[in-house]
Amino acid sequence: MTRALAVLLLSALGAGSALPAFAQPGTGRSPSEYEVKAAYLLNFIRFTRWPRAAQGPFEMCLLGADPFGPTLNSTVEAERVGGRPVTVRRLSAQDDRTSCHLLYISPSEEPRLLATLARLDGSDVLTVSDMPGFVPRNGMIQLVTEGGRVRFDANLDAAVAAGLMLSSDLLRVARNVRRANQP
Amino acid sequence: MPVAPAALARLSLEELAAIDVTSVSKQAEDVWHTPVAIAVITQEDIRRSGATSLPEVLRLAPGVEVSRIDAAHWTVGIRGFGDQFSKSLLVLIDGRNIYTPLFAGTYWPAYDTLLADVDRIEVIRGPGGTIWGGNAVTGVINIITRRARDTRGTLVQLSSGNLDHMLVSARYGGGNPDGFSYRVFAKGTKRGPFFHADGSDFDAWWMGQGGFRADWARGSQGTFSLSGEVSSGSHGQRVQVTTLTPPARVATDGELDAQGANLVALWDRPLQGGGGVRLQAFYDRTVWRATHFEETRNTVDLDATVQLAPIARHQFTIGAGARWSPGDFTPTVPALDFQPRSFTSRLVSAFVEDDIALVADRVLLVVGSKIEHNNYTGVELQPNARLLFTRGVQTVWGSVARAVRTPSRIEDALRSLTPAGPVPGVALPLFLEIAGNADIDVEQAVAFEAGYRQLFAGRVNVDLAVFHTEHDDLVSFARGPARLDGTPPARIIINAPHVNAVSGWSRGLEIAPAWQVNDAWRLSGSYALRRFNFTAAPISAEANAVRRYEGSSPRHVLRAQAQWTRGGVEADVAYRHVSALAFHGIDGYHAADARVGWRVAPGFDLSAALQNLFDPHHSEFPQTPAPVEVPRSLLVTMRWTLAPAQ
Repeated sequence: MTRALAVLLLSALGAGSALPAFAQPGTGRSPSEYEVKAAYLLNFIRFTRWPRAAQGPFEMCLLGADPFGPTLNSTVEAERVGGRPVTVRRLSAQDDRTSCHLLYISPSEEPRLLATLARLDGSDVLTVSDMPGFVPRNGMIQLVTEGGRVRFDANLDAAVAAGLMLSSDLLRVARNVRRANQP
Repeated sequence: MPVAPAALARLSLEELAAIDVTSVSKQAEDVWHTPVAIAVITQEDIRRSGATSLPEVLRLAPGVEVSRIDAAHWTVGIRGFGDQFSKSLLVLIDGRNIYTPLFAGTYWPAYDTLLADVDRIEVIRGPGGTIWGGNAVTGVINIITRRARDTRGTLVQLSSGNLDHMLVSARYGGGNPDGFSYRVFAKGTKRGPFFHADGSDFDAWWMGQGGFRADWARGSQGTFSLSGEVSSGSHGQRVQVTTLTPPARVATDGELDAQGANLVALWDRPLQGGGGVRLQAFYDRTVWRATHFEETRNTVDLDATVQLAPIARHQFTIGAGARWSPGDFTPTVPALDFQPRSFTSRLVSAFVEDDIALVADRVLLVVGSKIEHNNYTGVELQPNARLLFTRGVQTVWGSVARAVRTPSRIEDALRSLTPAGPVPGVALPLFLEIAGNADIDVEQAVAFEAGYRQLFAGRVNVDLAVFHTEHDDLVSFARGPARLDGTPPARIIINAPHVNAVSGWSRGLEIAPAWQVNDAWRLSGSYALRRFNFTAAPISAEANAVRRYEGSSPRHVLRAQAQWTRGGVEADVAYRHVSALAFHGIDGYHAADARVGWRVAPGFDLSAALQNLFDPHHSEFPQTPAPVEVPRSLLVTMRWTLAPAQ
């Protein structure tokens, strides 16, 4: 059995000798959860239609403790959606948020979630969070990490009530779509 | 699939959903809102545990008690009732029930899967009979592999160490953009024996396995899946074989050759207005050739489930199923037989469950029942009622549920002789005939459970569950008539039929906290406490019946682990304490495992896992004449992954 181990270690060294050809320190890892989530936020903007006039930049807002760090800006700000730029705005508690296209609500906002969502009543803001129970409490898109992958649940009822149109491409990829009020 | 962060923004939703992330949060969050004691072992948990078999992975879940008998055999219990065949719990691999009606339970060494393609393992503690039917008494283990569209690309994994000599896994997955995906995989294992104080090495083993899965996603018509596997293996075992001539009982070292094949078809279709239909059919064949018997079994199982929400606030789940499982038993030693040798176990069942949102998103009531007919005991009802309160990041739930364990062929039709030792004044040798009993009834349990979950500050979560279960009609042995068997050499045989004779309660708690300290550190653990109190009715002639039920599982299991992740390097340490198995005379033990993983280059990972750091070897279960002990082990793993061409 020690021989089997030795054989394995030797072959590992063999792989090591070919290593400089493709070793790229720093990029040789899976993306972090929030790098992927940032990319999702951008995609949610791509696949949503707002009732408001289609002009100016898309505004992506973030409420509560920022889990993304610099990732969100670096992912989003180089991209254009339908020719329009995307900006990131970090909100404080009293900032107006009805101008946001997408509002990411950090899990830190959990205790105030119902009040936060109530303040958005009558506005066309797409709400996204990764806190547990976000969709059941009438959030629109909940990011869910399972099996080491990031998925999402969509609440079509809540989006429709806000006048938003989620594309069928988006709903097709959703893990679960909530549309309880459909006939 | 490693992707530079800047490139992520250009990926489609489908591509994003298929990316493996270095996860900061923990488990499927649906679990949060389930009125059941449930834990989810994720793919990351599995990979970082260093475990190389399904029973070893199960140690990660709170409330599961796993002991190694030897290199190839385990006892697995949930909330007590630890047993080599895990007879009180139900195990499913992608919906395929692997509980055998031959001896009631799961024969762990015959089952394996490509662990790297397991999506998650859901471990439910407590009864699951309302949904899953018979034998889901103390728990349900649901092993779920990834969908084919999530396993596109190539994976090759090689491991070698002093205990698991060689583990080789390979998978290739592909498909087209129109919703068709497939994968094929193969796995081979060659594993060495444990430490034996008596110098033997009977428990080495090997296994080979191959399989496929194909999924067709057809929009509103739902998803159709077909998967299949074949496996073949041979593992050493030590069996106490009874001989009709002296010495009457011989510890015999031999092999069990296990062959398996299965095919599973699944159609999952969403319905307009929510809900869906799910149809599943599977065929499973096992051929086991052991030192003392051979059995060939073919199982066909059909299951249909419909989810409907016809009225506001109600979601109905209605299901029906049938299973047909003929088995042919052939004895290869004189003292073990079944009467009749060929028998078909049959089952039909139906269930209905209603999830009632008493207060939307706040209070959920679940009521339902299974009605099942089996051809050992007839009709059995397994109802449950569960209530869940959710408020923000707090969840409180409670439940009452009944579950039954269906008799197996052993309890129904066994004929097995065991030497009863010399009796003063009796010249002839004496044998006990452990016998099946056609009147045997189900073992029953009624469980009262409650649980509480809370997330603190988005970083700490705690899951607590308590239970009290009333058990009735647990199986023991009675003393039947004695007879003289005149076949030379003559002997006296005392009949000892299985009877339902033990009742009592089990109670306990499980607590599982987890703390995501920051993006590098994660600390988690669990503690489980058990108490048992059984009494045997006078009809039981088994001297140790009560001690056997009370002392076959540890009273305390404690587990703690720390995970550290940064820049492609992972480090894991885990500690566990398992208290004594009083009935088996096994002392409690402490064990620690450590693992380091390093992403050497995109698509190439290297890891080393060291298990049982504390002891050169320790004993977890008795074996005759000397216990087989779990040695310290080192395993080195190399893993290559190649994303599919875009």
